[in-house]
Amino acid sequence: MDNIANVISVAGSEEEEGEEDEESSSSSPPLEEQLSNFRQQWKEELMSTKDGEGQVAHGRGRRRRKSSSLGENSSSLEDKAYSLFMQGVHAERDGLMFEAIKFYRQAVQLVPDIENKIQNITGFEDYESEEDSEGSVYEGDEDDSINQLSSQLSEMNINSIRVSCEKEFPQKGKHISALPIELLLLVFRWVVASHLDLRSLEQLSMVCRGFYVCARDVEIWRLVCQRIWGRGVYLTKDYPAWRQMFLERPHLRFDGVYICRTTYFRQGEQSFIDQFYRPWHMVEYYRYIRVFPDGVIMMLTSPEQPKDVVSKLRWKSASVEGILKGHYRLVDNILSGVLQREKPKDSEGSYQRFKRRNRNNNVSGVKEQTFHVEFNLTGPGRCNNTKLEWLHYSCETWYSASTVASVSEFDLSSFHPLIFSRVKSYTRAAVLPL
Amino acid sequence: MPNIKLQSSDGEVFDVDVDVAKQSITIKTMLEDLGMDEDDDEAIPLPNVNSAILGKVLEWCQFHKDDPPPPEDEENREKRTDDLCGFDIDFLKVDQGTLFELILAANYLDIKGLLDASCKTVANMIKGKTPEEIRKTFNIKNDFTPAEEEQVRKENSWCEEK
Repeated sequence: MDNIANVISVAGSEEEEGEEDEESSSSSPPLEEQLSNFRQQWKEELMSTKDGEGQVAHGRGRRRRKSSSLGENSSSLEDKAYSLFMQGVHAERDGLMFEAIKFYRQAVQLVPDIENKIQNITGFEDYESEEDSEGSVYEGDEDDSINQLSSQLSEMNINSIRVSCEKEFPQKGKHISALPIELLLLVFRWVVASHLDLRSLEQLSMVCRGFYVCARDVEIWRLVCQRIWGRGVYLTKDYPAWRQMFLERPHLRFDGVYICRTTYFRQGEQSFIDQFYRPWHMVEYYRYIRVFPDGVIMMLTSPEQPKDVVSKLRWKSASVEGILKGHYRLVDNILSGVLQREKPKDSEGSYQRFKRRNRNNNVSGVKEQTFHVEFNLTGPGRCNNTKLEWLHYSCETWYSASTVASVSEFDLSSFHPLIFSRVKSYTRAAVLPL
Repeated sequence: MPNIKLQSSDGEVFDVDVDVAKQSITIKTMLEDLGMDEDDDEAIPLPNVNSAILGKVLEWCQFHKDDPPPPEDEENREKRTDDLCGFDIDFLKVDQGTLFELILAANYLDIKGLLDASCKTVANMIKGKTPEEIRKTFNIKNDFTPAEEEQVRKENSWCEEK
């Protein structure tokens, strides 16, 4: 293929010179002679090129090529331009844009309106309409066409579709396809929304071909990655595409809560009356962690069941008794966060304030407590990012009487990992667009 | 308050308060750039909007003419319970066709608040639905071949329900 391309490109450029000569040399006989020599030479070259093509024997375009009328100059020019043009088409299809442009340019230099002529002669359809009809081609042999299919799907792009979708049944009012692509993309960005509901976006990609193209829009996925990893994020060798980065690079999930349930037994007090009765209490509590794309983390330890708690953790502004809030950073798959207990608000009832003051007195003048957490973000196989394993948990306490913080580290041996569970209500309604 | 005249695509003329109309950035720029006199009797032609939709759009503008600029940060927005105010929710309880026409008109007239509200309404109709439900909701033809559908499903396998 490369050889042929070279031969043709050489032939093409020579031909170009030849043409120029022809134009400027009407008054000089030696040039005329030179030209006829060149023609002879070129014909030979062309013949050998054609043989070479025969051996490679590929491409649906070339087989339509007319092999007659080589002797006549103008139609052989056309023939050659046709061949070049078709090579351009193939190169473009393979994604070799520069090659393709080279071929097209050469073809156009030979025959300026080659594109029209090709359409007239062979009924060669343009790219887009071919894509519309290609479905039937692939239905037959599914197995070996999967790779082709995926590249075919990824080749479809915004510019190659005219309408986003078609009506299934006739309808009177405006159909969704009346929205121009950029407005449809705006709607899609509202679907993803600031809480990154990519599940819904993926559902959209399965609706029809036009929606598929829009839901794979590079810009949307770039914005998603920026939300997750910050504005400075860029494509790398490991993640050459934004969607791939989202799928493969570890990141936290925002559409639910990480939960772990802990139970332990505690010995109760012995009764004075019955020495044989030794009560044991089973203590059960849950730890909840919720993160947001903008770096806010909330942690709550509560005896309440998940079904009662998750709805309270929907917003960052959640005010639940005993909730810790702070900020996190994710470096690779290590999540580290710093949290503090929420300051009591004045708007709360006087009873609660009284209670809190009492409790603060009990712990002898604690001024401020800061909690440091560190997790390893993992997950079994396909469902990545669903498990938070404890790496570190400590509490820094500042007492009002002292200027030094006392740090106490928790023993993590009894800490179970937190497992993610999705909460549908978190992504039900959009607040802000992506 | 001075009034201006707006002419819809089907020729109907609407007499509206300038401040109401100026929520449309398109109209605002037109007035500023062209320096139209406020007592000018000539109607501004809006060839992309029909009278039914223009009427609705102006109703929306009338209601929101005293709105403070929306808070930019999410934190403040989410505090406003469900963001869309009661008027918007009722206002956007229209058939799909009208909803899409409102999006088109809001885009053409460059009224951000209305564009946001209408896009969000459509987005919330989409969210949480399966592809088949989306097709049904919006009357969309599935033009995937079975092989393509399978391929897309594979690409999206990460978000399948367990």
